[in-house]
Amino acid sequence: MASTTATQHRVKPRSKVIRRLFRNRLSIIGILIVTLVIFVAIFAPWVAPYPQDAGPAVHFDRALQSPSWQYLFGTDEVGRDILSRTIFGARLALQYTLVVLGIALVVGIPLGLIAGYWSNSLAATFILRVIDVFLSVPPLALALAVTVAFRPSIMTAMIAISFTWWPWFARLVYGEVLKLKSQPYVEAARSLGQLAWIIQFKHILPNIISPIIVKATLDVSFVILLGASLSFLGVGAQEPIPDWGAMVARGRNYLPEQWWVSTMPGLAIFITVVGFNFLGDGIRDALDVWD
Amino acid sequence: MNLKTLGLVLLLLLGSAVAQEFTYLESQEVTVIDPALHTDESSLHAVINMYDPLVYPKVQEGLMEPGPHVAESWSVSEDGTVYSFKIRQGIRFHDGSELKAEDVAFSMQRLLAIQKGFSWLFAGVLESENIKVVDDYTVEFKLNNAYAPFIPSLTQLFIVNKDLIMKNVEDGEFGDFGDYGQAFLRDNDAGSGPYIPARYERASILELQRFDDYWRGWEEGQIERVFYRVVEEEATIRTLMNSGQADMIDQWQTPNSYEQLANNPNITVQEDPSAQLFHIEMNTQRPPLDNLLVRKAIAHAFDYQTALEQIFKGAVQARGPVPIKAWEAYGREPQIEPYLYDPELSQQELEASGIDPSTINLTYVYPVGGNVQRQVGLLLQSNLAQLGIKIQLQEVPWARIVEMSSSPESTPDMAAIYDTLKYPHPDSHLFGMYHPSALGSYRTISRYDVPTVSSILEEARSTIDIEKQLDLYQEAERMIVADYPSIYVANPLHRIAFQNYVEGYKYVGLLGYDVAFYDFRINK
Repeated sequence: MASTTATQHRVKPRSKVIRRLFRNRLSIIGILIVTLVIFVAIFAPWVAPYPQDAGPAVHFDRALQSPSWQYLFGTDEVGRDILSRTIFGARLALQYTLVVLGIALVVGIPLGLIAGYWSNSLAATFILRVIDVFLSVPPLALALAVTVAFRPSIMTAMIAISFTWWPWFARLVYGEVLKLKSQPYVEAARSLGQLAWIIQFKHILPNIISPIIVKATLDVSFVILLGASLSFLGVGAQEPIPDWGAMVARGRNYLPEQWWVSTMPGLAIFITVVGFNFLGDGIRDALDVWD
Repeated sequence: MNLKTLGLVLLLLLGSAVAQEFTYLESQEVTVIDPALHTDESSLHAVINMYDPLVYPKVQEGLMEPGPHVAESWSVSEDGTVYSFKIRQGIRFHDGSELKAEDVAFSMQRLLAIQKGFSWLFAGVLESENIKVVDDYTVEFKLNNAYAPFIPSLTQLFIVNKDLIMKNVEDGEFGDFGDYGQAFLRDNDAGSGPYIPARYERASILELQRFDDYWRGWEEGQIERVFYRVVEEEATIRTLMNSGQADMIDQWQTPNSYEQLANNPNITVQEDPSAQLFHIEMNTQRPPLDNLLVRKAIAHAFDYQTALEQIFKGAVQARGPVPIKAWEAYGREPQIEPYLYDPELSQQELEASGIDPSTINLTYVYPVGGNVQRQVGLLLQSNLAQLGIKIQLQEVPWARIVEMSSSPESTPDMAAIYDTLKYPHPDSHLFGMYHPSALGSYRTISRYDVPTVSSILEEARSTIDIEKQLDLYQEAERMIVADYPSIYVANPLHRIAFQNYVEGYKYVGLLGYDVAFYDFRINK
């Protein structure tokens, strides 16, 4: 009996998960988009037609040109190629998503494990109350407050978002640990005198990894959106860093006549977010986490 | 009366009501409407339309020189220290009482006591106890020293109703005067100007209603009701203007927007050479910008032509800090040669300075939403990259720039600043920017402090002979420009757009005075 309960919670055999993932049409679209975004981000300097436009460069002689074969996405108000900037923007978006989710996972998972494993302790109460405090403030407002307090830059924006993100993971892990910690295999490990942290990381964590993966994938799109919002509000990336949100914000002065200036990076945000959402949903269905 | 006639009457009523209404769009909120607190353009607009200044620039004649207004005439003592003003009789405040010398004295004392807004113009120049009410229609100011720009600076002294304010004072730091009516004037007015505020919400609207008993009288076609609306989005402003829902828009849109509006046959875009300076201040106190050669290298590395043509879309290159128009107002030619774009020269200067360009990393600060400032920053960034110098662009809220410039430690390396003439005199852009007593504002981010220049400026201020005085100001300007405290970029074109049926708009170069709704006529 004990072993069947445990396997139910175990990660499904990898091949089966992948097969189920590819059976879903939406998740295939998601995979394609995500692969494309990652590819473009990694090889940005080679893919972008005018890589120098992502840095300090101005060409006023070709400012605000509409999309053409030469400039597929058109040019912005100082004559930079929007396609090249959008491509480098993908790099940036993925970079800060990695940093934000990295920090959120590194901080959130251990705290969630501690709070869940010793759920009646003072430490757990403390952690949970802190989580409540963080969750009660809207993430955008909190991130804004943090960035305004420091100098606006891509770095502070990232830290600000991580700041708002870890409680979600901590709470997710906490809930899952609560479910698992009285499972016979955990109790077996405990009765064998296993150290608490080994039980947490070796026995519990692998069994709750699927919901974490699903949440992290779905969160990619939220982080990209939040980062873009911060830049849109002028507290994120500074010129000439090609940040999607900032590009949309600065281009909106040229709406509706020069629509391409903000529409193109806007579409990039939209497509990337949709791609990660499809992928996240696909992975969730494949892993069947919440069935 | 049958239905048809009723309809016709209603239509006529509606028609006449529409004709006298006026919608003005402003992108910057109206932070205050108190004439002792105003500093920026939108609050100045509010004050100009609700109050009367002691003297008024001769806008309708196309001059910035102040002429009689509340003061019918004035005389100055031989030594230039005692000014005596004759107050015009029959000016009524909005509550019906008459404006008298007592009110003028009170207005000045109030401004000096509160020490905000434009009080810095008179700080150290005039003491409260040296203001004398001679009779009901005569007031006398005795200055500490002769002060050349005194009359021009009185365009910022707006007369408030003493009795009304004293009836409404609350407890405050000014003893018998309580809070000097600051709480009252936050939402109310105490003026005699052509308009009375009907509604005021600082971030959205100021609604003004004609004051029927205004002393200058009213004639056909003048505006009866003004909707001064705050709209931040540039695209929205353009749309409202194109669709005819707005009658006039402010001067703060990007040149690109005015270009597009000019394509609409119903809209006039008026362009005037402005009395405004756009410059990039360089902090002369902080390394490596404390080195003259580095500043010189940077100033000659900037591509002025591209900036003027592509970013400002037609502007005159600045010749020193004082806007060219300000010299012309006094019949003088500016004597400064503009800085030139000369990459070779900058390379030489940089080498001569002995500073390794790769170690230079400067911050360039500009206000949030400052589209022109941002583009100039990008241009400078790419120009300096040729020299191997790095600069970081930083978009920060305007209030933060003001705060940063208040202390030497937080003052940024470089800042992009628009500086409009504060009063019609070259002193505005010399003493106010390069005398150490002015240190600590966004106008003094270069933190320039050279004793020889300071003493020339002081001497100029107290020189009565106008020609000698102007010579001194020009000499000071020459010395300042040779020190490269700023990259003097442009005297931009002043652009404003209005519907063709709006008449009477005149721009003379003085902040705010072009948008006096009393001057406009609607001709539909």
